[in-house]
Amino acid sequence: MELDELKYVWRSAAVPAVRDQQHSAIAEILQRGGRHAVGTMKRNLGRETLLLLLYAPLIIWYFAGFHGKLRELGWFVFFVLIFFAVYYYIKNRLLSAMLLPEAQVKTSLERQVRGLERLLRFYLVSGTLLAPLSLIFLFFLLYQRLPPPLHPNLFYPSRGTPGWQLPLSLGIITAGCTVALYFANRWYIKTLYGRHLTRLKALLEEITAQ
Amino acid sequence: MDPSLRQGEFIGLVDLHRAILHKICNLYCAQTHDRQDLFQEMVLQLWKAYPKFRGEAKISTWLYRIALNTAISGLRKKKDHIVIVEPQQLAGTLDNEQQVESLENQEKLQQLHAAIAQLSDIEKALVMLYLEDKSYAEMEEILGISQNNLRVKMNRIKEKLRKITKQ
Repeated sequence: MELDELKYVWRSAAVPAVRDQQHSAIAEILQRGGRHAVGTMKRNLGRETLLLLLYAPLIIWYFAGFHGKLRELGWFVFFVLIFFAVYYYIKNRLLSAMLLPEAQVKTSLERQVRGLERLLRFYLVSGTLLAPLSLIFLFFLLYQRLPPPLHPNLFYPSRGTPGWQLPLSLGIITAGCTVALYFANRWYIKTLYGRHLTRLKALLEEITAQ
Repeated sequence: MDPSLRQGEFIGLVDLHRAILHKICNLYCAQTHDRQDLFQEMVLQLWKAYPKFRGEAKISTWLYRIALNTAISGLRKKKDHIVIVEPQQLAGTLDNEQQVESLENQEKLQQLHAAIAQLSDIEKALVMLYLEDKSYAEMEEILGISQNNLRVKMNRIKEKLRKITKQ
């Protein structure tokens, strides 16, 4: 098969399948949302942000209800909300930076690979950070608000216990949860975006190869 | 510009270059519904990029970039299959001589599609632009690959296609 000889055949070929799209059909397409991977991620982000807003009344409830006894919990929910708001903002910026369909194919692939890698790194770091921050806050809440139990336990050791034992126990619990969440997040990211990223990288490698 | 006027102008543009979009759809998707999805996605991406089009590049270059970007990296595609174009699809309205030529061409086209289906997504883009008689300078502008590298890649692809068709 010689490609040069097939140019004529190719160019004179009739277009099968979807050729019956009329003007009105194109106009209709313009009203719909697309299935582009980044576009879908942006739409999902929008939905998650809406869910976050539904979560906001909890803050008022914790502040105003329970005779003010759960104010710390209200602060906790508030900080989680701020954390996610910042997270969504950064994620949206990264996703927007990935969308440049009018660029050269190689540039577009480079942008997508770089953008997705940054996004996943950010997702991993922020998702993992949530564990130690939440636990530190919960420990703080526990020692501030709840009365000590009658019998000593891991979190309330007896008087004779060396002072380093409690911070060490809390440290081990926090570290354990953080490591577990790190691996859980890594697995989740790989399941969601792993194949897409591998494919984009392979395409980029192919296009840049000499 | 009035949005409805702009939309009308855009639809005219898509209509004018529809063959390019359909050929890309046929090259990258085997199933009719996948081709329709890809067509819609390309039209949507073109529409989104249309307000930013300043005419710095040729309209066909701009269109190829967006369409190929969408086809190559935009959709999470299913595994490709070999595209079968039935020769009978065209034959009905032609006279005998034309029918023979058309059937021959269709057969060649079918072989070409079957061979191209075994290429990678980047190679498909290269072959498509080559078959559309684009110069290496234009191909560089669309793909971002240097002309020297394009020549090397094209030679490899031609060799690969020869091997595929010999099998």
